[in-house]
Amino acid sequence: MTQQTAPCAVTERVIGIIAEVLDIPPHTITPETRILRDLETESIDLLEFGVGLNAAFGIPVADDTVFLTSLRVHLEEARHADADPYKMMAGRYPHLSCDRVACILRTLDDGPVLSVQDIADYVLHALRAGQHEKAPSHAG
Amino acid sequence: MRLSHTRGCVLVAGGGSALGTASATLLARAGVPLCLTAGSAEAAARIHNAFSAAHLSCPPVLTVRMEDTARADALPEQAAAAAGMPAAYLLDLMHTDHESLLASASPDTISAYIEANITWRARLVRAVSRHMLHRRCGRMVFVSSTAAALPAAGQGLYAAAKLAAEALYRSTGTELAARGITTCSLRLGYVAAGRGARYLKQHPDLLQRIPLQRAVDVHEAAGALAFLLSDGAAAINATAITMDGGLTACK
Repeated sequence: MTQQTAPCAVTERVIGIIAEVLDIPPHTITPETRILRDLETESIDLLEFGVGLNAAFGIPVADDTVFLTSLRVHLEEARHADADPYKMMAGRYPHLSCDRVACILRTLDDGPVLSVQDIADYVLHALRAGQHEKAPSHAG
Repeated sequence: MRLSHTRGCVLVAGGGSALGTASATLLARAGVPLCLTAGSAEAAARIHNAFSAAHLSCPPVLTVRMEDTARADALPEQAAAAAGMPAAYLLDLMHTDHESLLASASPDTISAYIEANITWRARLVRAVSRHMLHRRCGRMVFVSSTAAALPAAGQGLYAAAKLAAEALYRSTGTELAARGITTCSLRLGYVAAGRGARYLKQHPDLLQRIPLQRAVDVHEAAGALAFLLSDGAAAINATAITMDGGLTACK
């Protein structure tokens, strides 16, 4: 694992991006900080986070996925379709661990769930996917 | 004319038109770095010829067609790579050519036209916004038409596309002005160049309907666009202004 893809380095860089956009000291942000509940964050800030992630890590950023923007819509759709919400979450948000998905579903009624670590996990997932795509194939 | 985002270039999208080359050479004379797009090899040649005739070195020219939807997403980065600096300004003159009565257009033509002139443009504005947002500065100027307000017969799709584009730029200006990115649209009336000149030659009586009694000169229009790109016009944000000699003010 390279320096850039080391989980702690990614989380630190994500915190730096958030702090820069919101103009707050980085030390006031932790991996557990909830973006929309604990910080004064507006939709335009999320847009800037996305642009910052793209520039810092060189990854494609799907705002809707990384910021869980349509999470409640998708859960409602799953409910209407009588589908398993865990499976829906695993499909739409593959960067989130099973434990994290369970935590999100358990605490959904408390307010917006997106955390700094969720964003860092998205970045790590995208970086690993990029490395996988770039890896030379030995098949055949 | 002062463009303060000097660390960036002006991306002139649709630079192969008469207005595009007039605008680009005007900006180049003022020392503004540029990157142009052209919709065909012929349009690219027109750009090279215009710069050569003006004794100016030609800026990078990318061949970009609005039918290539995915290209819109990558265009700001490609322009930045070609110019060697980010795109701090966008001058959008792009439009595909089609006029017919709305009811006579084929369903496939309608779909393709909307895809090229609205979807493509929305993706371009999105990509350019994100490109500019990283540096928290940028200015976008869209070349619209008085047809957006008063379409003639046969301009239904054209007017719809211009109105939709104005709406895209207006929303971008309201959403991102606080982050240093502003927009505006210029609705041009009859311009005595390119297609406009040919149309006016066929319908010379149209000039009598214009209070100014003449069409907009292409260099006048280029000067207005250069002003709208400049620092002095930054407060003209999220709106459309009209340059038509008074045409649309009359019954």
